[in-house]
Amino acid sequence: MVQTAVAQQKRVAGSRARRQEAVAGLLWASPWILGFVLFTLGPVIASLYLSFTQYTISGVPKWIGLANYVRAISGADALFWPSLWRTFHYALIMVPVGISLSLLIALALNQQLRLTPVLRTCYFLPSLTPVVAAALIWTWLYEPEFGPINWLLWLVHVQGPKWLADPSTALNALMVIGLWGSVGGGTMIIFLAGLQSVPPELHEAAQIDGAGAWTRFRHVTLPMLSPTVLFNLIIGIVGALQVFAVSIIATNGGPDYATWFFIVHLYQNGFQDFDMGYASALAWIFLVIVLALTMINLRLSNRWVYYEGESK
Amino acid sequence: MSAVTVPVRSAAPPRRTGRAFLYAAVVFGATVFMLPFLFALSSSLKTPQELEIFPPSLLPAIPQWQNYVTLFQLPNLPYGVWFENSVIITVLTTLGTTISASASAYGFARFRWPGRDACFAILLGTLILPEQVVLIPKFLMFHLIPTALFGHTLIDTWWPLILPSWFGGGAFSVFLLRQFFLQIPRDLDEAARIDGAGTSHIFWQILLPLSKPALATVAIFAFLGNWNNFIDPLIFITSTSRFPLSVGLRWLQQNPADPSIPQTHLLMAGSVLMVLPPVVIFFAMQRYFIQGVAMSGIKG
Amino acid sequence: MITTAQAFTKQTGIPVKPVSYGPEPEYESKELALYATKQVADVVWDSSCCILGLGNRGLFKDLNPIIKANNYDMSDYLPNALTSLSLKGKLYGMPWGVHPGNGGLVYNVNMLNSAGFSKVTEDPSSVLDWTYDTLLQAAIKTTQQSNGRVDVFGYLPGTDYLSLTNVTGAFGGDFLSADGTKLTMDDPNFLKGLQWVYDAFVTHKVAPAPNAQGDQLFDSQKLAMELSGYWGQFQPGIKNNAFQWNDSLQPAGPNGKRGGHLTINGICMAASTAHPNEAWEFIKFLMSPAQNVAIVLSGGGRPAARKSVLNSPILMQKMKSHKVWVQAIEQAEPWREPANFRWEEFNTTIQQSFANAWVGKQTIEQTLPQATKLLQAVLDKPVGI
Repeated sequence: MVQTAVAQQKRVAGSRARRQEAVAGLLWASPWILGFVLFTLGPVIASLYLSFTQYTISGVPKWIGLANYVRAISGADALFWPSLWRTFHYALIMVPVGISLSLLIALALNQQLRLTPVLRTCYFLPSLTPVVAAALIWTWLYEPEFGPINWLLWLVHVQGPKWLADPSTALNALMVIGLWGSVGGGTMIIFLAGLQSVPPELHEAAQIDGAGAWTRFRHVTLPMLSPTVLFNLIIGIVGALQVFAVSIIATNGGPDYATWFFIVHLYQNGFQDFDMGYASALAWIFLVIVLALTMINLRLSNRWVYYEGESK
Repeated sequence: MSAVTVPVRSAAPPRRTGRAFLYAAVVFGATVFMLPFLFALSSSLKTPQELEIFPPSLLPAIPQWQNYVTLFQLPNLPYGVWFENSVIITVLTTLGTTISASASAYGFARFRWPGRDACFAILLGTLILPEQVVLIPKFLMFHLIPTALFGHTLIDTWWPLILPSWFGGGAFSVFLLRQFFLQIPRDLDEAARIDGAGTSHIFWQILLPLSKPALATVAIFAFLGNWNNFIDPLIFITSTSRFPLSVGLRWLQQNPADPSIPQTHLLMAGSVLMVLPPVVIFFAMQRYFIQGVAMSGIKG
Repeated sequence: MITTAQAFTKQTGIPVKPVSYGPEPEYESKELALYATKQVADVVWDSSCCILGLGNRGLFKDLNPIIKANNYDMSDYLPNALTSLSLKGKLYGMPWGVHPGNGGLVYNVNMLNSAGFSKVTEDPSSVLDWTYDTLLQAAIKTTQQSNGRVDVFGYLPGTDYLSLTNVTGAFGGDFLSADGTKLTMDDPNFLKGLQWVYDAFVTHKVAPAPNAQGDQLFDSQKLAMELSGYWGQFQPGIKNNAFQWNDSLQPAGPNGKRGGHLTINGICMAASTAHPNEAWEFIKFLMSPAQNVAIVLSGGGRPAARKSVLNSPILMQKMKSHKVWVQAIEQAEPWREPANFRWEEFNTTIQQSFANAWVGKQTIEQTLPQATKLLQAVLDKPVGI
């Protein structure tokens, strides 16, 4: 009798403690939870509703069912698919090139060079520059007649193209701006952090076994770094797909829609043409695409990402 | 271990040239990255006419330091006020993010509660949520609800910019700190609890002091993100005097009052000044920063 | 605007708070969002690109009843300006500042004289007899090369709707019909206009890239002429009278007619205003000739569509070329926009779609199919704004 009573008391005490813990935990996590409901969940649901309506702010939302989605996917909106492919094109180049360059820079800065703090700041500086300023600076650099880039080309007797004014070069020119502004930034910092946490014993062991620098990189550094690469890959793809401000400020989505990315299209429809319902539908299509890509990424990552051990 | 002799493979000279080459490459790269910014700096010190000279000159003929003074004296373009606004908004949002993200991370890391893991999965999900999806509803929300509750709107105030940061400050910060907290051994918590300490005490007196690198990282990311934030103030702020610098610069670029005034030199000066605080902060705190990212386990 | 507001308050005792909505194009979206949330100002400045559409949506009050109730004298106003701001008999704004759709020719006297155009002086009438052929020749002759690259350009055209219709209108064509329902892009006169612009950019290479900063190039004497507007009379970048110049009108076409549509900056009253009477007082103040002339002189706006302002001796005397602008304004066609009010979209599509032609990658004929298709799509959309 006594034993059961004690056991029962323990269980009651245990469950009370667990309840206290749950309440405390919820209380501490409440800022994020409340923020999520207020500033994410609510607006997301509202925008889902709007996507099924025709709404121009100055009126009342009018329910039109799937019409917005049909308009987008069927090609009735002539710019929908081109802007989507263009955005993929942009991301497909930006992400691998950007990550490789970031890794390269991180590797270089991890070599205990003198003046590393100064060098790190130099590489990080572009990512600190506000988009307006960066776009303006590069617009001037790319100036076809009087800008420095075409001047350098002229010195070697090459006729520089019109860069941001020419539909066939504008996208590539914009990519350079994008790379400049991102390669030395957060991605590089995260790689640096990742590199610094590769246990030096592994490197030493490999060296003792006679491995050269390249072999060590391939078989020690890269595998240890693969979770970091995955993280940067996912965040990088999501970020690249959202390219917007630099296009708006430097080229206005042109010329001839050459830099008309998906979010530019969304912004145009929502805030220039005031088709808020359609813009909300575009936003949701974008959300689904991003989710799908992330899922695929995560699924595929099992094949190449090496975790040191499940941490919890 | 030290008794074992290992034949040294690489002779000294190749390593030195390899090293020299590395230095050259890195410095060259750094210069290329800085070049646009250096051009901006030199353009900010030129007269408008000098900007059109061909070939472009790297240095101004006579540095027009007064451009920086003119910047603050433009009628209807209160650069000084914008700078102040940016400082206030950014400091408040950084504070909010740091405090509320660590509190939320504490809740995720140190307690068990029903739905915790599901919530964390959702949190990770919001990392990839494009903000355009919520922009319009957020705008309507910040107008309709306060008007209904207190009778006046929160549009054209700084509340829409600052308030969200005090509610978790974004998934990234919570994620970073939660990973970090997970790596702090629980024995310290236990010891404190046995001594009768409450959760608050554990949070403020034990966890936070041990988390300085991670907190610095969160603070720096928050500062940088908010200092350059363009879309949100553009949508939520309407009075010129309440703009932060990011929108102010765009306003300067477009300046509808008199489109015929060439402003490039002033816009360059304004950009240079706007980049200065982030540069200083990054330069001073970078080691902390990298440490924090490393120890938070974000790479894994 | 701030000083004007202060002057008004001093005169009438009614407090006015100027609010800025940001640069265009963010201006309109801000305006609409504020309207949705009943936050928009009582008196709103807007340009003709949007007034009719916003009026159609009920954003602006019809001013006709107010005018009638106050017995406000409208005889001084240009009829074309009022039609441009009216829809179905309702007047949605007062024509506070008008101009003939860009249509200015800013020119460097010294460069033109050196190129053999000796009749050109600082008097803006000295170029009024030019045709588009003359302009092209002048551009070719003032373009200078050295070391295999162009050092000075002759003329920079505009590539947006208003700038292009200055040229096409002179030749007798336009993008769309006067009622805004149909495209008229297969009109040979219209194509002649586009071809002229193409020739300037590509055939004769007298222009820098389409996205060049024309004002800065002109002020630094790297550009002899450019398409401008009424505001071209202000060139603060020219220091110390470095050279002689003026801002006259774009040439007339073969029939002696100049292109361009009357473009209006209107002052409107928000339909949701709680202070209609005070707002009307402020609008009257802004429209008063004395105020208006002051604003024009300071470069803060264009002249109002009132004869007393257009013929103001002060403007005639103090502005560099106001006198030639009066006739252009009086003769300009009314404002033209798509019937579904989607002017901004129409304009953006035009700016995008011809880019390949201006950089010489395609001929005008080659860009037309895609451009026509996209512009027709804009016209086919439901009523905008």
